[in-house]
Amino acid sequence: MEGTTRRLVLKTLAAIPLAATFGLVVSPLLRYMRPTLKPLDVFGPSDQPGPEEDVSFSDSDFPAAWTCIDFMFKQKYVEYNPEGKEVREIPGFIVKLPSGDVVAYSRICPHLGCVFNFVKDPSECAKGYNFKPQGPVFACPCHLSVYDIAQNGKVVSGPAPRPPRKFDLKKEGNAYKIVGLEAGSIA
Amino acid sequence: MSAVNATIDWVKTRINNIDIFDEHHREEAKTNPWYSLGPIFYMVWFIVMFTGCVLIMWYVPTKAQAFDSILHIQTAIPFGGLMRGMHKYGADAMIIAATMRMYRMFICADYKPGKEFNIAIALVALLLSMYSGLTGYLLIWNQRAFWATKVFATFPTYMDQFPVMGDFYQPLVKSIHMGWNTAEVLLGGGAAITQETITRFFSIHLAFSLIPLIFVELYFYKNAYKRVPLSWAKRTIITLMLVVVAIILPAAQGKRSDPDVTPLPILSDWYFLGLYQMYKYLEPVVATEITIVLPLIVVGLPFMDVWLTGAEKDINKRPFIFWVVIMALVSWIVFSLLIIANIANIHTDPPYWRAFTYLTVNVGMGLQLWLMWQNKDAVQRAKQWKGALVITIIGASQAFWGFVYYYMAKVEMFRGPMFQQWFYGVMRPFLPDAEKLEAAMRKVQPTSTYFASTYKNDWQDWVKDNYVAKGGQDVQQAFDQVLAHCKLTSPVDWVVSWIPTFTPEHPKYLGMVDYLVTNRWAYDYVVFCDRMDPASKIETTTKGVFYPLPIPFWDWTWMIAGALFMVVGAYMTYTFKSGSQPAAKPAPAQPASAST
Repeated sequence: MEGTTRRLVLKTLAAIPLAATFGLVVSPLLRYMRPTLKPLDVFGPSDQPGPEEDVSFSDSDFPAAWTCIDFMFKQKYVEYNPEGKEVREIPGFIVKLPSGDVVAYSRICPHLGCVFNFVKDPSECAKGYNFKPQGPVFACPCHLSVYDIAQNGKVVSGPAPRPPRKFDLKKEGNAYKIVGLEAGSIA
Repeated sequence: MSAVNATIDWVKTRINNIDIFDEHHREEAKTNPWYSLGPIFYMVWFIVMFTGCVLIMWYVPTKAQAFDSILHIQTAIPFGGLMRGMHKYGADAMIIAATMRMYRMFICADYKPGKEFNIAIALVALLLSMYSGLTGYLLIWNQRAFWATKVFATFPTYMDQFPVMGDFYQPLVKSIHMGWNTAEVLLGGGAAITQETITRFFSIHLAFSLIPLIFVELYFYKNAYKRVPLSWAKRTIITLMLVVVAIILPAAQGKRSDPDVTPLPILSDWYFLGLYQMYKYLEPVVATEITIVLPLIVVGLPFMDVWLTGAEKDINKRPFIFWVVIMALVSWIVFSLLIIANIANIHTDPPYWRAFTYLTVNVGMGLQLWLMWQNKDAVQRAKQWKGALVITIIGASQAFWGFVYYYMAKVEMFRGPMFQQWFYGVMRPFLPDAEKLEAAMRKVQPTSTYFASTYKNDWQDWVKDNYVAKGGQDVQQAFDQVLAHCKLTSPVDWVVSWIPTFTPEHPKYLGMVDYLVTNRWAYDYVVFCDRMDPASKIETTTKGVFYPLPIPFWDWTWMIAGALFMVVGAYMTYTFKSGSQPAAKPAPAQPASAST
């Protein structure tokens, strides 16, 4: 058995550089898995997405406090396909607060990526989402996270780790223009 | 080198003992029908493959046509509905058979002796059928499928917050974005479920069945095992069961998926419901960890059982495994029922669940120790120190976790910040003028505004934007004091001198103080102290409730039980070990004739 063991050790030592070589040969194949990467940049960062076109609203769209309008924001990802990009639609809510401020949030739940709803009636929220809030909230049907809009989107119930992402909002005279989305992870 | 040889032998024995579909249990199967589960799984696999081959002729894997092609199969193709029903219920039957087989293997100790790998193989079979189910039901492209897939594909992103491999200790380890990459591979790059996702899932759905089938077939061919050792009567009954269910209860079509509307309630397929409920209860990072750790624990359990009970196969003498099985089964069933009825209260339930999980396993541990204590045979008794040690270790981990949990629950700070503040606390005696630094930090950012969930590894930059810019003269002064403090040296500076910062403009830490301040570890300590002190009156997220919070009664039970088992287990390990000298052999009885 002693001789076999020595052979085994030598074989293992010889196999390590071979395995490394084959690993290096195979590693560019990872490229197939991630279309958003530049060729031969497997472990580099992805290109950051940007807006494809702006969405705009005017003051008259919000007649009263807690008017909530849903919209689709077109986000452009650089892709190495014939068009050179891919456009994804991010659902959003734009809300007028009682203070008169207008805020816009991405509707993608920061917990696990479902699309959340605007629940105006606290008793409806208590029935469906296991939590009775003080006022209108955003609430996600998947794992029942509830976000208080009046408190900057603070998580008041459920497992979500942080408030939903905000859209960048520009006020031009009477119009509100949505020009971008807060950067971050998938959800 | 004999240790290497022993290891190789150990692995070889287990590889030789591999049992994929109960082909080594033909004798038991004659008297015990549970041993037919393996062959049943294999047979239904063939049915599912066959019906899948029929469905694939009509199914169109595109976003626009997937749902309609299913509708077409259901309504316009002869026997289309039946084929789809048998495919769906066949897949369900495979998952049921694989699950029941897992439980049988644990109850009947089919992993003894020297067959521990078989649990891992059975688990792989179960997981592959679950993942085939998951990739399969996205193909229907209905609402339930769409949102369950969204959740499934997003949860790996929390891997990026794991210690060591994730972003969490960015100053120490550069993240490889494992979670983000996994999600991108699953979804085809980006936040949405798109055509790439459906193409990938279609491919994976086929691969998960076809590739293992080749290996399993080769294995059965090489060893000349009988493939499905069931009588034709049994085979017909199983097939007919699928046919009847598929006719009576046609496979659901659901509503066409709508990426803009998440319906309430929205559930996953039945075998993931328990996990889905767990994701409501837990911090998402912990839920992700548990999802990954659960299969590893299942693979580890047979080894633990061998250390505890040796070659014993009788379930009455293996209470530890028995109660673990009970715990797993009850949690899974009750969690699934809770989410179906939507009655769980995520604010008040978790202490009960923690207590249930720990205490059920503790019952098994207690009974196991009691059985060991009852053993009168001196030689066997001495051998049991290993088992008692295993229970001591489990008790010790439970007690340690209870100790950490005590503080986490008091101040609502999670493991990361908790570790960081502890580390700072250990370092504190070596640092120059720590009190001054802490007082200045309190002035810059009031501890009541602390929000732990978003990790900051550039505390100075962050407070500069959020507090110093808006604060007055004294805040600016305090901030300058902190910056000046960062330049101070301490005797432990050499520890951080080799840590890179990964920021080009700030390639090296000035010293230990700079490291602890920049990565917020110092501030975590300040917050921890303030929250533990009732006099500082820091309000929680609920109005009118102040830190430190009380520990729920049911949490005390498992925290104390852990410590108890650690002590009792250690005592018994010591007793068994110290009595390991076999008792002096009684003098052989003299033959009656010799004395006379």
